[in-house]
Amino acid sequence: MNFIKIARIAAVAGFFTISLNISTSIVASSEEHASIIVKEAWARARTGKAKVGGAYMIVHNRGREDDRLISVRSNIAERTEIHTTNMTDGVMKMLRLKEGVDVKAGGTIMLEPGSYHVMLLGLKEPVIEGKKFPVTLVFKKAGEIEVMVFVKKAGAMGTMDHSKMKHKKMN
Amino acid sequence: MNKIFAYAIALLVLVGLTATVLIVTGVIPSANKSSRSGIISGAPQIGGEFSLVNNKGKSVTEKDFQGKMMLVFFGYTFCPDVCPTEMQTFSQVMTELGVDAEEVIPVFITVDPARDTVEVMDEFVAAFHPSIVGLTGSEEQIIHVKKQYRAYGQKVEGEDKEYYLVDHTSFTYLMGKDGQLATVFSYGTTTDEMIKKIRELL
Ligand SMILES: [Cu+2]
Repeated sequence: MNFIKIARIAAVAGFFTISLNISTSIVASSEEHASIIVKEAWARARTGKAKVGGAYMIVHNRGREDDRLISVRSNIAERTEIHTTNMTDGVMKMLRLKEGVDVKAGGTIMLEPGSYHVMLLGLKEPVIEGKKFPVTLVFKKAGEIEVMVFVKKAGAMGTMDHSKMKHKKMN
Repeated sequence: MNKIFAYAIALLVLVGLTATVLIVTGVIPSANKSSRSGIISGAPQIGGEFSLVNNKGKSVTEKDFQGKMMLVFFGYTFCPDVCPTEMQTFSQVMTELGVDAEEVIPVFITVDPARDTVEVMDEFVAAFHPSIVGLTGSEEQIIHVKKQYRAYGQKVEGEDKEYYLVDHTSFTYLMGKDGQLATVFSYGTTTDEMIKKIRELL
C-alpha cells in the first residue's frame, strides 16, 4: 500500500521535472501546444454601453499531466480575469478565481454560461455579433495559448447554433 | 484509522444535512437574512406596490402592469453571465408563447441602480426582446422593491470600485394577473416549463 503510494508520488515528481523542460521548449516554439487544446471560444455580444463581458470555451488537456489555467489576458478589456458563477441558497455570486482552474490530465474544463468564464472588465470597444477578438490563456505548464473568440448573439448559450464553430485558432 | 476517518466524514455530512433541513424548514433562521429562505417556503406577500422608472425613462408603478402576468427577474446589466442567460429565456418564452405573449410582461429589475441608468437598461433589454421592460430607480426605490419581492441584491465590497460585482437572487417570479405571486421558478427552469405554467394561468 505505502510502497505504491511512494512510487506514485515519485512518478508524478518525475513527470513534473521532465515537463518543466518540455514546457519551456513548447513556449519557445510558438504555437505548437502539445498538451492543451482550446476550442469553440465564443462570447456574447454586448451593447455599446456595456463595460463588461464574458467569454466561454472548452479547454482540454490531452497530456499525461495535470495543468492549471493560471491567468488570462486580452487587449479588448482593461482587465481580464478567470471567474466562476456560484449559486448558494438561490443567490447568484460571481467569484474571481485568483488561483485559476485545474485542468487534470485527460480532463476537460467547460467555460460556459452559469459556470467558469473569462471575465472582461472595462471593455475598450463594443463586442459586436459576428466579430472576433483574441484572448491569451496562460497555463502553468503549457504556457501561453492565444485563441480567437467569436462573438455570438447577446443571448447565445453556446456555439451549437451551427456555423463558425470550426473556426478556432489552434495553431 | 480509515474507519475512524470515514465515521468522522459521515458524522459531518449528517450534521450538515440536518442543519440544511432545519434552515430550509425555518427552524433555524439562515445566517444570510430571512428574505431568502422565505421565498423557498412559498411565503405569501411577495410583490405588491412599487414605484420605479422604466427603460424609456417613464415612472411606473405596479398599476401599470395590472391585468397582465409578470415574469420578474432581479439582476444587473454588468452581469455578463447569468443575467443574459435569463433574459434569453424570457425572450424565448415570449417568442414561443405566440399570441398568448400579450398576456405577459417580462420585467428585469436592476439591483444596481447606480450603474444601470435608463439608457443602459434600455440598451440591455432591447438586445434580447422588445417586450422586456427594464426597471431602475433611486437607491431607495430599488431597496423597496427588493423588500416587496423578498429579493436579494448586494454589492460585493472589494478593491474594485468601478467593476464591482453584485450578488443577486436567481429566481424568476411569475406574478398572476391579480398581482399575486403565482409561482417562483428556480434558475435553470426551462422555457417549456415556464410556458406550461403561464398557459395554466391564462
Ligand atoms: Cu464574472
